Amino acid sequence: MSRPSARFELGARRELITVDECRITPYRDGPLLVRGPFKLTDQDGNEIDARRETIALCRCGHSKIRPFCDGSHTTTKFRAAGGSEGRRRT
Amino acid sequence: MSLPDPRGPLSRHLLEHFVQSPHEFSSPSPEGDPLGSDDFHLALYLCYELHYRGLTGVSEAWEWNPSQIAFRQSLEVRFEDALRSRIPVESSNGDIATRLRAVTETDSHPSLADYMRFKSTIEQFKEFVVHRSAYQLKEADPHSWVIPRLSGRAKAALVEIQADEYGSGSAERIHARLFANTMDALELDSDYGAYVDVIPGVSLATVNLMSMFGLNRRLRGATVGHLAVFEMTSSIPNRKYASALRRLGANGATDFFDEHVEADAVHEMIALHDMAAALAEDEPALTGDILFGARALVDLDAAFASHLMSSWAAEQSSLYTSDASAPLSL
Repeated sequence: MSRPSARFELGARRELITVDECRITPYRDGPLLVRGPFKLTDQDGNEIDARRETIALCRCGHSKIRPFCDGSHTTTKFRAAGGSEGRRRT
Repeated sequence: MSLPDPRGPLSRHLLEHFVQSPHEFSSPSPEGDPLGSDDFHLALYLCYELHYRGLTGVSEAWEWNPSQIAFRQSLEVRFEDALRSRIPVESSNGDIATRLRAVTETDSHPSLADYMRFKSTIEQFKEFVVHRSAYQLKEADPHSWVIPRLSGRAKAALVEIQADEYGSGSAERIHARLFANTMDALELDSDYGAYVDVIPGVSLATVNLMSMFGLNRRLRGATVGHLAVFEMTSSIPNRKYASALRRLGANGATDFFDEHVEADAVHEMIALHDMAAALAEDEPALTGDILFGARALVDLDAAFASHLMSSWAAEQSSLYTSDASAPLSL
């Protein structure tokens, strides 16, 4: 009887991950991808319409539609790790 | 889709049989340039269309008719052979993301997007949209054939992209619908297949490439490589196309292109890292085909761009006509 129960718990946890958690990922040489649920606002707290469930936020600084990515990292040869870099613990 | 006029022996042969009830027939041996012939690629496009929306007045039972499939395969063999003989075989060493990026950077064809942005006339932009309608009115569909052929990470990533292409549950945001809106705003006919009669082989070849990859399970790696490079080379050109429309005063037609700037910036990362790199890691034997699919896309897109630019440089229409003395107007 323990197996079906364990499977149910795994299913419930997957649900939690996909529905309730926001995930932000720096992609190599590219933008930060944000997978919902999230709310994007300007610095005054006004909501910026994301228009999609997953968005790419500019990391190279050259996008013409900031804060969103427009692919400019390719032309500027932006280089960055697909994860955390140069961070000190203390 | 309404039936087009034949352009030569292959399409004539096919159309003569298609208007009858499904039956056995023998195929002529394929002629013409398998990378760009108008007749060759119209015939292949019609065979594939049976698997998409179908052909008006043609029995749906033709889809899996053995003679039709045999004919289609005889074209596919020549098409694939011609592509493989032009594209160097890749070793399977090295980081796939870097190598796919390199494929996009070796693309040296004259920039169609830059021409459109700064120089195109509205008539030329409309021609460009007509060419693209052969794919965009079924945008994303050819790559969806590969979904049941993938598993795990690559499958999840591909479906994440496709869900966005299909409007994330909203029919009016389906990208093919956005393209139809662009056609309407430009006073073009947005009915599916309305322009097939004027779309040349060099344009149909770019769509047939995706259908061939998608409908053949053994080419699943090529589908993934094709989609990865498609998404990687999309955001910046689409920004330029939107800019061209604003320059030309067609502000009501930009939504499709604006949407693709943002959407494909997301898709690029998912396609490259979560889909293509994951597939190469999970199934290393497919690495060569992932790169083949990528290079084939760049190769055929370059031929398409050259055709448009050279036609316009000669002050001619880039659309297909069987009668060169009768210039086309949209």
